[in-house]
Amino acid sequence: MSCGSKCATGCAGGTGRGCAGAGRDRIDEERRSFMRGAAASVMSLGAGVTLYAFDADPAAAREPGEKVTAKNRWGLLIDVSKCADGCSKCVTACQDENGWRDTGHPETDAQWIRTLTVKNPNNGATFSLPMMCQHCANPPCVDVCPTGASFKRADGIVLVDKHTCIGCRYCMMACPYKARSFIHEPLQDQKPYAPRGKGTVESCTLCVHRVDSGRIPACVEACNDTAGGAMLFGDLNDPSSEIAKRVTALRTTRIRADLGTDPGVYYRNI
Amino acid sequence: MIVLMHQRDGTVHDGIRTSRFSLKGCIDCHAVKGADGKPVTIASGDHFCRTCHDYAAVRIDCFECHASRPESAGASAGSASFPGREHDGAALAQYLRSVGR
Ligand code: SF4
Ligand code: SF4
Repeated sequence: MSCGSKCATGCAGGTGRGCAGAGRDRIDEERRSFMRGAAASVMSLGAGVTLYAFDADPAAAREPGEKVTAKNRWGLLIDVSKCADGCSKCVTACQDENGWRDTGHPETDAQWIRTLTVKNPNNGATFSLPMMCQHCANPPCVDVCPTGASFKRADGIVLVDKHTCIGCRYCMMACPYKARSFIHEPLQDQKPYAPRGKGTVESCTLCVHRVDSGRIPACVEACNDTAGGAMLFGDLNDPSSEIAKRVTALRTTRIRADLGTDPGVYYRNI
Repeated sequence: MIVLMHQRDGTVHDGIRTSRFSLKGCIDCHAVKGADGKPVTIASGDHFCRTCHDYAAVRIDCFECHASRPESAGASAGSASFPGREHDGAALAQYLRSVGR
């Protein structure tokens, strides 16, 4: 497959990382049953539109003030066949939520999520898919970060602690998905819940501020409400969650899974 | 500041977002209204954080990343404006009492 300039599929990564795949936290049965309340309900709106809503808060199992734990592993399942050509509702929703935007300088503008148009060179068939930080369980960005700023939260969300980031951009080079951006210019009036500033690197946070209050990421919400309902968010560690059931039952793809990054973002119909 | 340092790690790394652990919480309460009735940003000398740091001649960089005023304009902004531009300690103390609820 070949695609636009910021494509993940063509990049060998160059991280020199083996296909470890190990080190996933073991989840015992007791913890699983603790999470069983968080089942998702399915609501059909006719005309082929299906909404997936959590009837219990995804993060409700955690008391406010309690630390995140490896009990959860947040992830996404994206059904690419539901992504209409030219749709960028997820991108706009992310921009509105987190306060990044195009300023007409594509070389340096931050980009937390983008849509790729992928083309099969043999028959010319194309389709679109959203691409963002894959929240790897074995994140190369974390491996290479010299300061410890790049880190994986216990619940699998990969973030940059901008207090510690020195802006060296090693992580940008290491990420096989080109998911990270560097902020080149001073910023004003950031979103209070999404601090971002010059000299640091940033990427999709899986809307961590929303997840921590039991809500779903802005892109998923926008796709469900105003577009094809292609995105499903949930806890991959909870066998009773909609996302875990689907990932088990359906044929899914993780991009460049061969690199051993163990992404938390699954795709369907690629 | 020491307390903030501890709490920031709790928030960023452990996802603890109760208002006790939130700089956003500080900003929401300590907002100061400017002449236009909206909360001022760190660009203004009346900003709650800046008054002390200006007095101590310390430039802070928190607000290069963090929002320096509440998102919902005018939420609970105090109306005081800082009178002691001449680095008058007593005026500063009085100002802080008037906005530090
Ligand atoms: S997709 Fe890139 S930025 Fe995200 S966790 Fe993986 S290596 Fe890190
Ligand atoms: S840019 Fe920041 S987060 Fe990325 S590797 Fe350097 S210090 Fe770590």
